[in-house]
Amino acid sequence: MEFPITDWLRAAGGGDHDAGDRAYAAVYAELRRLAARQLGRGAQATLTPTALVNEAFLKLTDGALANLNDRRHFFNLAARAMRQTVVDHARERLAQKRGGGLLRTQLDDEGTADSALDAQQALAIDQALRALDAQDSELAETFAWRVFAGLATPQIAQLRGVTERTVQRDINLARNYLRRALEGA
Amino acid sequence: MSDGANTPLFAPARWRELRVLIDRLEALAADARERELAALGARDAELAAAARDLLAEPMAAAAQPEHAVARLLDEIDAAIPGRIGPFQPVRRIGAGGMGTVWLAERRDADFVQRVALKLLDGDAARMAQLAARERRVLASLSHPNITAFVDAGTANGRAWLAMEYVDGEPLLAYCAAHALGARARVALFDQVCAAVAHAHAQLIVHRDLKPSNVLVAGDGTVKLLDFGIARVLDASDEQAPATRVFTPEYAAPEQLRGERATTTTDIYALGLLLYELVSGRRLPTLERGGGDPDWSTTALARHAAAPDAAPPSSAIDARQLRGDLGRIIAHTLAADPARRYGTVAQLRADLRRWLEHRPLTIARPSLRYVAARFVRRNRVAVAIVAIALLALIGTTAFALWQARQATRMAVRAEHSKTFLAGLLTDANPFQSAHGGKNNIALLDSAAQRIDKEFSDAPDQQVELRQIIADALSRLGEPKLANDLQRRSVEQIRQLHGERSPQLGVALGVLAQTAEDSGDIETARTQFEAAYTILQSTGDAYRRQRMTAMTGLAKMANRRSDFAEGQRWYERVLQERLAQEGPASQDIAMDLFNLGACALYQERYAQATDLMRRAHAMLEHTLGAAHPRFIYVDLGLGVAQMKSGHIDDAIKTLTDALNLAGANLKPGAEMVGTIQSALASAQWCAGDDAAAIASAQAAREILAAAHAPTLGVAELTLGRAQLRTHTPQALRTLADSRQHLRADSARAAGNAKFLALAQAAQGAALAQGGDAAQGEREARAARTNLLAVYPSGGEKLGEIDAYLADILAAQGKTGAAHDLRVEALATFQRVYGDAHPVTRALAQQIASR
Repeated sequence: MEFPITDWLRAAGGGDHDAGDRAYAAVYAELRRLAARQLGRGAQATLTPTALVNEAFLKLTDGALANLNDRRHFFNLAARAMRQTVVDHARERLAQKRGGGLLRTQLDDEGTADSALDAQQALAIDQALRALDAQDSELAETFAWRVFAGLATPQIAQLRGVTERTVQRDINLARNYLRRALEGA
Repeated sequence: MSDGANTPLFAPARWRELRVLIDRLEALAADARERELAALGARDAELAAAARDLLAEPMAAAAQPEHAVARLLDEIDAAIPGRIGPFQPVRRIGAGGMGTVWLAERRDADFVQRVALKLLDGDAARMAQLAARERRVLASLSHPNITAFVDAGTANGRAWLAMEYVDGEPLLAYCAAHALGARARVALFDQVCAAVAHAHAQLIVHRDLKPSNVLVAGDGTVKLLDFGIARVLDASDEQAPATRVFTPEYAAPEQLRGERATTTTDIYALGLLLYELVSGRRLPTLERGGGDPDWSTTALARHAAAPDAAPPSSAIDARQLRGDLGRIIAHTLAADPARRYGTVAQLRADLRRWLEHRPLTIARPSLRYVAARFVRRNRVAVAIVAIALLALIGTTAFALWQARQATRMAVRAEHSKTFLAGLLTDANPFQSAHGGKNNIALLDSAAQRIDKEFSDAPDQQVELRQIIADALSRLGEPKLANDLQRRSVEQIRQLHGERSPQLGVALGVLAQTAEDSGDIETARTQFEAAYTILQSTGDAYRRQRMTAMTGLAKMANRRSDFAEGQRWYERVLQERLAQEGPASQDIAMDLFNLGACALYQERYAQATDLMRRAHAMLEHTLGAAHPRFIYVDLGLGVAQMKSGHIDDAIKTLTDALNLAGANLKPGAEMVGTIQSALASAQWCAGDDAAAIASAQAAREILAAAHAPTLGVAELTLGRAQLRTHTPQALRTLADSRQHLRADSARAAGNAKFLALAQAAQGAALAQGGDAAQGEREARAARTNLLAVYPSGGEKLGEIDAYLADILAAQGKTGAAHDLRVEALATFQRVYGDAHPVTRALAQQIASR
């Protein structure tokens, strides 16, 4: 195996921050690499979190992450990595819009308006998700698995050991909570 | 988004209550749920409203909050480019005025190369053109503190540059994270200076130095990013005055005014960087605006102590900026570029003095300051240029000496001419009104006034004279430069004595100005005098001694005493090996010089071997495609041609021609010289059409440049025209002889060419019907050659071949045959049996 990711995940689960960081870095790097390769394949390929995260999972763990806790941990890392990607991108977009200290004439303004809105919204969701995490970490985790790791309902149900119906309800609840948080802010 | 979003919406107990409620309501049918909520509403309206809100039916996809995330993912998706050249972008690591920067990988069987890949915005064709023009300049920057240039190209309509990827921390963040003190920060800053100094020595200006362009790698090595990028991105038009790419907050006043950036522009930016590094704050130069007053140490300290916000990381008490460190920074930030440190080396020297608690060099008004004041008093704007020019080449007489050597290569000369031209344009707005000559007159009159104004300071007189002499020399006025330097020599003789090393060094410089102005005999005497002094000055003056010996070797070669030249070069090589070890650029050039001596002595196999070794050593030390290959490959190509490796020669010379085209100005003499050599090789290969095209191109360039080698190019052209029975041959060969005769400085070397041109002219006359006159010319040519060159050599064979053709045209077949056999023997001796020229003649004999 390329990385002792299973060991790291286990150690991270046991509170070893260093191992957690390494596992995160490994997952993050793999996702980036997969995304890049995916896009290298052709025009149709898109950066769906589902495909990326599942492929990274297979690649990094040989598909042999038997322990449920380890698996949860892996998908948490993957969701965190994708979330960070989105946040980085959103910040960059907004910085670009502000001009970022560069000569204004050098800036390319095309299409920045819409994506600036999306970028603001994405950052707001990131913030609201923190609030939800503080309120109810299981709801936040479920939502992040869906949105950032692209996990399907049955996968989440299996990871959490609940019914698919519960997962759907929780996702709906999380959405309503976030909407409320976004509106209230 | 406010910080409040981080706080949960509900108190923990309230949330527990809500979740229980929601779980129960979920299980109910819609009408039952409404009844429950209504009842609850009467008791706790807020709870009921929250529960209703959180139970709301699934939203349409577009209304879901995460929809923005999905769209951003699409956008990220679209933004990651596919494969760029050999690289696969992996992660976006930055964006700037020039485009985007990606971490990219090249994956091979057993290793992964990571690079910082810059995708440049803008018109791809233009960017690609710029990138191609500058990639060799970038490639020439090889320094541990500069991120290395890897590759460049275009892909999908965009130009890209790949640079070494540094996995490091930004400079300021690194200092903060490691809580570095002022001395440690200055030590890091010194690495930045080292990088900038290296680039300045290559005449490359960064133009966009700022903290975010400096990374510290894990091992503490400082890496300066984006060197030359600004230059690549700068307007392609050499005349364009302003650079477009810079960061206003870190720009020098002259950049903001739209003037051309010079090395002192970088020094200003270094000062800002140093200030921010030690104080933790950016100096608000841009915000202050208006009038460009100089910074006082008090003002520097005041800004460092400003109470607006705690600086993220400062290393010093702001009051320290009132002391020497502040003085150093203030000196780099002078509004007038001429009053800043002239070179990075001076800035580093003062920082070292500060670290060692020694007095600074700027404690009193510096010579540069005095000089600039002097120049201003004289209203000689152009003399500022001379001082600024000094910044490029070093300050002391010794540095001047070395720099002159270093800049002797024509690429450098071309670069410095461009720089100088730029500086002149910037510094002297009256230039167009008064014409270019005016600069020289101004420099000349400035030089004369040095006598009066500095009569009490002979050392300064000497230094100023050398500055101005050097500028004059660069402006193509070696005679004025020589006069000025001669006076310096006298002064040094009185100041330091007859046997002082200073005198040896100054004599060496003087000899070079004499050589430049064509006074070879004087140059030789002075090189000898310089060598006589320097031979006993020990290792400290080894470099200057080697330069004197190189000068003596050149003098020997110029009077065609190539054996003597070779002896000097061999001694230079021995000293060099002692100083620089088994391989270096300089050793490569020594091998090249020895190869040239072998070439002159017609020892072609040996010449080819030496030139090949020079080429290989340069490739080893400088990498491929360095501008210096232009010269070495010219020599190698000629050696290959003469030793019969014509195909190799044509390839080598074509490479050299391409390299020259990419690095030198159009119309540079060197381009013509290479084309002339290429024409010869094509002539040897029997490709007369190509030879005529190359020779004509060479002729145009060399004529425009008034190059002494024009006659040689015309000789090749004439001979090719002769072989293709073109009537113009006669006229061309007459021109060739005239130009060869006019080049009196190389009379000895040209005698052979002159004789050959005369014989070829004879053959052209015979071809035109006047065989008798042709025969007379050819026989006279033979006599002339043997008079200056008794052993005859290859030229005797060539002349005999022409004479044989003329005799054959007159029906004297027997005599023609005998001469051809003789010529064949000559070719066999000089060129060997395999050489195409030998083989062609052998065939001609056999076919008769």
